[in-house]
Amino acid sequence: MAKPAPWDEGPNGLPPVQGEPILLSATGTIAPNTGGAIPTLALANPDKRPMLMDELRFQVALTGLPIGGIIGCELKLGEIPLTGGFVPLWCFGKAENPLQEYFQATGTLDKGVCEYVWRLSRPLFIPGNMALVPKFSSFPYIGKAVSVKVSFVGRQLPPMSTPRIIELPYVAAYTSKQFLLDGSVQTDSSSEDQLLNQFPVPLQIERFVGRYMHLNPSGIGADGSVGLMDEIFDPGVAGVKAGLGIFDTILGVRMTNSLGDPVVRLNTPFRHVFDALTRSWEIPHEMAPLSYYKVYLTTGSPTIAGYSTTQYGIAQVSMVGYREFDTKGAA
Amino acid sequence: MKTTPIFLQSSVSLLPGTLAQFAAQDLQHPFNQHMLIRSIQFSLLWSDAIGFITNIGNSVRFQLRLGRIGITGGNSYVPMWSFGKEISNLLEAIWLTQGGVQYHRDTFTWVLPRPLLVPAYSAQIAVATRTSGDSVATADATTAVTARISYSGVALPKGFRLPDTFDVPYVSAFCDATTGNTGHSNEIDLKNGFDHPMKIQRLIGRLQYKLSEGGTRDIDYLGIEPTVQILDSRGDYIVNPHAQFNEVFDVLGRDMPVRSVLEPGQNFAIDINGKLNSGGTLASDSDSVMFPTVSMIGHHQMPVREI
Repeated sequence: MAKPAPWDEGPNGLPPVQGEPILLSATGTIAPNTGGAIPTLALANPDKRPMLMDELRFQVALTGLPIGGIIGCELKLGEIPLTGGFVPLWCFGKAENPLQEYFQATGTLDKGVCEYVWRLSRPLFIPGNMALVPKFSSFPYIGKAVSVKVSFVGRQLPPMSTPRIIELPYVAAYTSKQFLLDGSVQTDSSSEDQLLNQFPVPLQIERFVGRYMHLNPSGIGADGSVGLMDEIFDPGVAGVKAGLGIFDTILGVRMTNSLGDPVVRLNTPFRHVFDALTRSWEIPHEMAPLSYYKVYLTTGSPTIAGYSTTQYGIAQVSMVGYREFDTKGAA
Repeated sequence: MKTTPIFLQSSVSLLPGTLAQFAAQDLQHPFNQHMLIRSIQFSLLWSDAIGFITNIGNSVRFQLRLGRIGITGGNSYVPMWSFGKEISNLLEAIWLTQGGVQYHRDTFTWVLPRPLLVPAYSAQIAVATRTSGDSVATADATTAVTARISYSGVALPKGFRLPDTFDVPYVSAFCDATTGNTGHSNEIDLKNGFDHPMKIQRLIGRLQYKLSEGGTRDIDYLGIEPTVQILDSRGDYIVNPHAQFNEVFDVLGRDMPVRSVLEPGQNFAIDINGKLNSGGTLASDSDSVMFPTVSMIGHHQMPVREI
């Protein structure tokens, strides 16, 4: 069982739960197939007061139907990494209702929006003189500019010195190659530096998140269609949101740790490991310093009717947790 | 304590009226380490001619054991959808048409009331059975369903010292007969058959409804479902007569919180009335029979040596 948050008890020189609510938001446009930053000044506390951040919200919008797997976010607190490189926006938190992650208005507006929320189990302390800086990268799938909005939701505290020990969230992710949806057996695996605890201290892992999307390059057109969908939308018949996740055999996953010990022992249907509702495997545990997890993916039958040999499936797996950080030391 | 996540799974193929045991070696830690299991997931996958959502969570039932200790009990196997609270009705049963074939997938996840310690070398036995006439397809006698079970938890470090006692989750169910207007549980359906108290977390009530055009699912319509009465061993009311089934077992979670202790030998008694729904308003399905199940979920302490 997770120990109570230190903010609830008031150790480490911090006051017990208190503060005034604050929400800081910034928007930017990320050019296709490249990276970009958004105005970070908007994300710093205007009074340079310390803050406790409780959740992050990401919003992606473009003409057509967007998806959280096309944009990656790298987070740093000052120079301290909170992510292992760029992490797909829908891989930070668990889904609370995948059916409600998407909104689309058609007609003259024809705008699609999707939103993902990462609720931190341990609030992040942001010193008054620091800011949480997000950078974004557009993965090379759709070749379109994407509008991104990020919001930090939390509380601002009275002026105070930084506690000696704070807890920092951490997320790292692996994105698979593009699997051809032709029913053939194909494999891919993560590398040792992707789901890695790069720190000399243990990581408290809370969950693994598993997402899967369908890419149809010929569906990318000037009419706004992006040819990329969450599994839940495609290829279900009209009015039925079922999707590729129904097929136990279309994507299997196996996992090991850096010692080769089994984590997911046998090749297991993707949606068995990563629950269909939450898209996550909730499994709190401690991850040793400088260790990693390795993900092995295998595709198989059935052949998806009408997909021929030009459409693809892409899986993304992340690990989400936190670590203790000594603000006076180097860890 | 340094632990390693572990996810184990096995599958069997089930025809109506058959029974199959999952391969026990698939559900054991390959290097014989102690494990702590946090959740158990079930899924069913099949294809047939039914072109709409159908949930056969009542028809496929499971018996689970850890060595000699029963995790399920009672008079029958426990239906897949009776192990815990329903999280999402929308995603519990999904289907799609692909290449002119209908594919169906029903899933259920049981988050255990307390993590289950599985000592090294102890066998996790899981058996699945499927009732006859579950109406999966028009010719359901020839339609096989792939049933899969998964155990999710952590492997404990080598050298972990086993405690003397441990928490064992427990589920037993009353599965009502498929005929008649009334149904009554017997005293061993929802009974604490152990010689020590059992903490009861909740009761789950599911109401399978067989559609005249084929397929089955939960019934959600308030006011036309059967009534249910629940008594304890002393004959005192827990749920008084004439309570509508979906009032007692909330449509969102299918559950009734209990949070009390069942002493050794005590049980809950279930009486169901109005299954035939003769006064119902379900159009063409109004003469169909409903199949209620009520399950009891809790946990109790057992000595490790009894595994």
